[in-house]
Amino acid sequence: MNKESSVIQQIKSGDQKVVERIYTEYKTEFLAYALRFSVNEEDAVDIYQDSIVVLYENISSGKLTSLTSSLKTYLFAIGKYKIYNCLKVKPITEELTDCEFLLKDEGNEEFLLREENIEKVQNAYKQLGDKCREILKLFYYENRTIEEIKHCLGYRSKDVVKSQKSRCIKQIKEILLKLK
Amino acid sequence: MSQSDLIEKYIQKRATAGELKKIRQLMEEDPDFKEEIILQLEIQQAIKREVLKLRLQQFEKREIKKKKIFSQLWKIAAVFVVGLSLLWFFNRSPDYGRIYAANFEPYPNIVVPSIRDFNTSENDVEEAFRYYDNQDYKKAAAAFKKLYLDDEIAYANFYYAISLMSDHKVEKALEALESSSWKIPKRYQYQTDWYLALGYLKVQNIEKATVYLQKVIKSDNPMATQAQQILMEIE
Repeated sequence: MNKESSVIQQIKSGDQKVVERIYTEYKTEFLAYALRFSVNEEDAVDIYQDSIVVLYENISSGKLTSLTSSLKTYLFAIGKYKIYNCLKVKPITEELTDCEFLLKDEGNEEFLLREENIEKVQNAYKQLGDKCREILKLFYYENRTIEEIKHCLGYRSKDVVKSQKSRCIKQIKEILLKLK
Repeated sequence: MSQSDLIEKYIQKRATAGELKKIRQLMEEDPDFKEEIILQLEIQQAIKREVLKLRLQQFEKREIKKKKIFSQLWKIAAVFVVGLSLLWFFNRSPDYGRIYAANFEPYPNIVVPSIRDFNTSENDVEEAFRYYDNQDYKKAAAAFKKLYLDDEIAYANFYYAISLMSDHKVEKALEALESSSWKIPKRYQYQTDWYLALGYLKVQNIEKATVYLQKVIKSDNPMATQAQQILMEIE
């Protein structure tokens, strides 16, 4: 098994340490690459982190099972796409196809999630209070049952957890409405 | 089971086959239900991203901190190195060996002229000075020692000491110079002080070297200026 497919295996098995390793490995090179597009360093780091997140997501969701190119090429293609997004520039066709090819959705999912919406929800989530972020993280990220969350956060009953959770989701929806 | 319970199960991938069938059916019939499920999946995706993003941000912060500490350590280390070298530079002791070598010169033969008549046989004094003039200091030292011990020739001890010194036996030379200094003629006394000063410098007995240098300076010794320079250099 080569290094890159072992990385894919590790991520699939839920190993997050490997993400930090990849992060460190390509960071300097990526920042230099982003600077060529006149992206400032702070934004470049942010874009790089987002690209790593997408890479992780695509691997762990099974969207990406094997690489036709190197991991680095794939990561940089994601990054380039995000840089264009950040600069609000339409990439020239040749480059776009390059990105699209690598980012093409395999379509295994039952329905497509709206990329734009995910970004908006992510922003909304950041605006929530600690309590909401915690409860939503336990439910959506850690897949804890309502019963477990009740114990974990010391709620009186499952109903309280449920109503607290729906209040938090309502808050997200309200923020999304405002964004529209 | 309520719709929200079904959605919960779907999100957490706990739905049974029957429940999945029900969910698919609802999604087809009820656009609001479908919208709700998609939104919740988007929430899930967004939270996953945010959690990882936060993790990377914290990782980044830690790395920057590490780098800062590391560069700080480098700075401290650099300051130390510079400090220590400066300390060494300003506190280093003068190179006594170098001063000795720069100033030491065997005292000239002022007793027996070196032009000799080869026809007459050489006496012991002449022989000793021949060795001395020919820089054969080992033999010269032995010859002068013999002259001094057998014939008690006053200058013989002085030349014995200088021969030793020229033969790099500085400590032995110091001994000889010290032992005889009180009974030699004044002419040699000046020179004795000068060579004692140099000898003590060589063996790094700076206290004694200073004493003799000062003696040389106070006298009308021709080496007084040179002695003054050495004293300034070692102080």
